[in-house]
Amino acid sequence: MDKLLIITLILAILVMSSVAFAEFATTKVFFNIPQVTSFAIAMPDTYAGAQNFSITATTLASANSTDFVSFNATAPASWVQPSAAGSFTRNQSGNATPIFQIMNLGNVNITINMTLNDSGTFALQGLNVSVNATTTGGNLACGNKLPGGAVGANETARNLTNSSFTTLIFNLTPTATAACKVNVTMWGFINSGVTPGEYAGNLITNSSKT
Amino acid sequence: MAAKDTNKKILITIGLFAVLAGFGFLAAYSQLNPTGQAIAQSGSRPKYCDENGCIPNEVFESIPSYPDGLDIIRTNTLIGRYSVFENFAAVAPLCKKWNSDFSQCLDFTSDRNYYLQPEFYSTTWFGAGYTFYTGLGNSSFVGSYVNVLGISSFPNAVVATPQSDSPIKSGTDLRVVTYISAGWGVRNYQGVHLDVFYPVQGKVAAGTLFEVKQDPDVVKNYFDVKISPQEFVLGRSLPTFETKDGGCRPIGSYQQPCEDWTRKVEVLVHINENTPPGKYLIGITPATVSKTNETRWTNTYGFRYYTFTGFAVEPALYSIFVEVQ
Repeated sequence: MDKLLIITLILAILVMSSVAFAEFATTKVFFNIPQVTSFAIAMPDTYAGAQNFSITATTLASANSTDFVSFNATAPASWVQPSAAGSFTRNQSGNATPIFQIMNLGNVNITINMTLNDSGTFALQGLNVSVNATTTGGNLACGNKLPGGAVGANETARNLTNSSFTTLIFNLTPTATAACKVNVTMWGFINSGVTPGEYAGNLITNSSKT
Repeated sequence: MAAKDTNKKILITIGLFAVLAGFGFLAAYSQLNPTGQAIAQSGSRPKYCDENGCIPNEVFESIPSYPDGLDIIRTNTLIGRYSVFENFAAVAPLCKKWNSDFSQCLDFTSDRNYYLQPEFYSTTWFGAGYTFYTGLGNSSFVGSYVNVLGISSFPNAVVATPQSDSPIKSGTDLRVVTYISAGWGVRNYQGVHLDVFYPVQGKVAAGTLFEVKQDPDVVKNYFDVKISPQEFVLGRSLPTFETKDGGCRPIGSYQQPCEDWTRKVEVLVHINENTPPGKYLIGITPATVSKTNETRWTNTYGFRYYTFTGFAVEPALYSIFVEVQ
């Protein structure tokens, strides 16, 4: 019986060792990088704090707030500034009020690219990207760098197409650590008028008359 | 007498075996209690305030109640405690009591209690995240910009390296998990299609620097990658963090289907035959949503729906670094 005890103990140790080693063997293969990649695109909207809890409309026509970007023109026009469909109070106003503000909400630097989903019946005549941060010796304070030739101290003109992605900005630092927001202003060239009420569902390609 | 002694020894043997088995089990699941100390149950969400006001409770009305053990799980995620980012409930204090059915602790679905909490993404939530919500409880607060689109991944990368007992070579299958969320304060539903691509280069610091330079046209033949789910709708993160089963604020009089604001995404990587040893990088990025789903979701969510295709980031939304032997 003493032999039984010894054998059982040895078996128990062997069994438990294998279980423990199996666990370690599987846990060491993967090393997750516990960082967050995150960004968000904001549009102009003046709202009271609690307003977001009460979206009242059920159709686009009656919507009190939409986020479609609209270049409005019933006839060919140049340098048309976009606004949020259905609300001309939410329009772009040059570089002072860009149609998009892009924020890095993660904790790693990211390069942000943008494309058009569909050029539709208009073309972008101009796309300007700037960063609301100051420059120091040619480098932006928030650690990023705009591609292409700089138009101003911290802005650059870019072409935007629907055939490929265009880099808006390199290595944008997280908003939480520096107040770095990428301002995107766009100007459209409308080569033909759009039927009133027409719209498309894409964020940046709508060419509707609202 | 001899029979009694024999029985006694058998009982002692069984008892010792049970004790050892218990220690063995604890060793195997050592991550259940890495410090060996009792962990306080928090169980209540902190109050968040800043100069704009305090976050109203309504913001959290759709997500599961603040779970026990979130704090320690958060720490474990940040120190790389998990090989695969799942099964969080197994380390929760509730399951440390050992007085209930332990199998419940291994229920993967209970992970929803954790990854649907904004605090799970602690480094960014406690940074800029919560500030998007403090004004919601303050009627005098006036915002000037609102987030209409945004996406997030956590973890944003994983490094798979071979070990002596776990080789990574031709024929090996790897399974990794990340969480894709709506960005902070995004008020629209977003159709997301995730696709695979192979960057020209990339690097990550995982103890030592793991650097990759590769020819995408060649490397694409080395792997078969399956993403699940590959195409889905992200629920809104404003005005509430929405969940599929917890409800969501209706759009006017129309109660639209609710969706989770965060989705658990599993990626299966199969290393094909004849893949040469080396370091490789697989990227996961948003791509074009199928026309069928885009139409369906546009009809479902109307002017509160967007397809996430206009923007992309580098490095990839989720990067998988693999060292093949």
